[in-house]
Amino acid sequence: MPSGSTMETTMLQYEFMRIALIVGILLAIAVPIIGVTVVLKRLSMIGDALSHASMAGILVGLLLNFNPILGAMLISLIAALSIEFIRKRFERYAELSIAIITSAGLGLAAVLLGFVSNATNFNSFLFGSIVSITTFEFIMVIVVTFMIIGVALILYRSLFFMAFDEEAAKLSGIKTGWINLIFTILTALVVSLASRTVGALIVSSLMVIPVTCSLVVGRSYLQVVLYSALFGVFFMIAGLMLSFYQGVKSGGSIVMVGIVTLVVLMVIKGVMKRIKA
Amino acid sequence: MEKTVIDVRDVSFSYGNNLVLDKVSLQVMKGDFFAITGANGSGKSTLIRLILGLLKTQSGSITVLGEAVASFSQHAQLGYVAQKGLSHSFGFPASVYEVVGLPLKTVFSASKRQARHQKIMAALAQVNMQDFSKRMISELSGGQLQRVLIARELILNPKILFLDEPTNGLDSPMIHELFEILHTLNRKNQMTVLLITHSDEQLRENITHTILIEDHHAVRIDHGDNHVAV
Repeated sequence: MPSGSTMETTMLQYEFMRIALIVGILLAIAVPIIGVTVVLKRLSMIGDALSHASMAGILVGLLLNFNPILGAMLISLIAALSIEFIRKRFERYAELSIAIITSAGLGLAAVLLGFVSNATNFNSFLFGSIVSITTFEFIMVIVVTFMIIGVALILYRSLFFMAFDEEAAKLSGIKTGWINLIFTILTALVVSLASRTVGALIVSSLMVIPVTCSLVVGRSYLQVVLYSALFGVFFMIAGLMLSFYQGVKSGGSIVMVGIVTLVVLMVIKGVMKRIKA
Repeated sequence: MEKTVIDVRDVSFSYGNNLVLDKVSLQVMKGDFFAITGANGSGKSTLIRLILGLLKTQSGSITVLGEAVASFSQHAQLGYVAQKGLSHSFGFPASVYEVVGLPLKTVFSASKRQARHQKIMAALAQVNMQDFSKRMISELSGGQLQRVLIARELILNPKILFLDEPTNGLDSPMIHELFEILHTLNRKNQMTVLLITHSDEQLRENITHTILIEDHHAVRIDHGDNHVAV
């Protein structure tokens, strides 16, 4: 490293890293915001289901020779709407919908993989490739992130009320059907985009771990939402720095920073409880 | 003249081929403290859910506050504390203050925020929970959480309050305290209260009328000794 430069300055000298950071930070805000509602509605594995469906969508795009990200978004959308449909039909076994779609996504991906001649492109979607984002993907991340932030602000009370008690929310006049639809679409879009950056196998962790950390420290629903985004950003920046300076995979680094943070927070909380007792 | 706030006429309902309610009729007047009782699975919750519009009637008609349920628009006039509310809410990461304020729209100006704050604290005061506003929901006992859920429904000053088995999981002192709060709301605020209970002990708690759901039919028992099949 040139003398006088910091680690951060060196990393930021490269345009691909600057873009990776911007994309990463935007997704690190958007995915956990979605994750708060997902976790509180006890649909924590939906990220897995949609990312597996995204994999199938990517393969559809590769096989039919159109942008794989569009394929991922389309199939993810169909999967998300299917989950919502099955969830309403089998209310008592809502988690079944996630298991069914996860299986369907994996099964379809496994079948289609056999027809792809060059699997290298597909492998980059499994573990992510945040440093090789295309202009189209960059623009989509910006658009979807700001849509999610906008919806989270405008529908803050409705999403909170629906996560707490959907029936009471409906009785109070909130249009729960429409809001569930909007939320489902945004979840599908952000998962398919995040699959490209952090990888289909890891996007679920980005949805759940920042939220779990914020549940440990948050003292209100508002704090849980804000801290989820902050933790997401912290994991993303720390993970990307680890990836750049230590040469480890970015997706895995982001997740492991999250896991370590969660363990540390839980230990600290446990120790503080004992001190107070 | 007493005003009818709920008018159920010849309502029948089945879950698939399973008949639950058969031509049930019921009139609730303003200020009534109504209990709906019956064995488990007799259709008590189903009746409440039909009145609230959460289920669609298959025959018969229901009007609430003069409006047909199918096109009901006065949502703020009704409060509902569901049976599963307690178990579902435990552990939710929100403060008491946030939960009670849920039915109120988000406001930004200082004066409106102050008015919102006062409404929340007033609702908490009605259930003797004003000192718990900063507590997390997860830190409350069953009885305290039940009171918070009631406060959430009271914040818009509803005309009718529905409670589905509000005393489930509560011990006797908590049940007594809960009924004291409900009676105060009924007498002072002229709020009509409908609650589902299968406890005989609770039926003696100064309830004005009882509907017994038995064999898919409703039998009305007025406070006193008149039994009238409806």
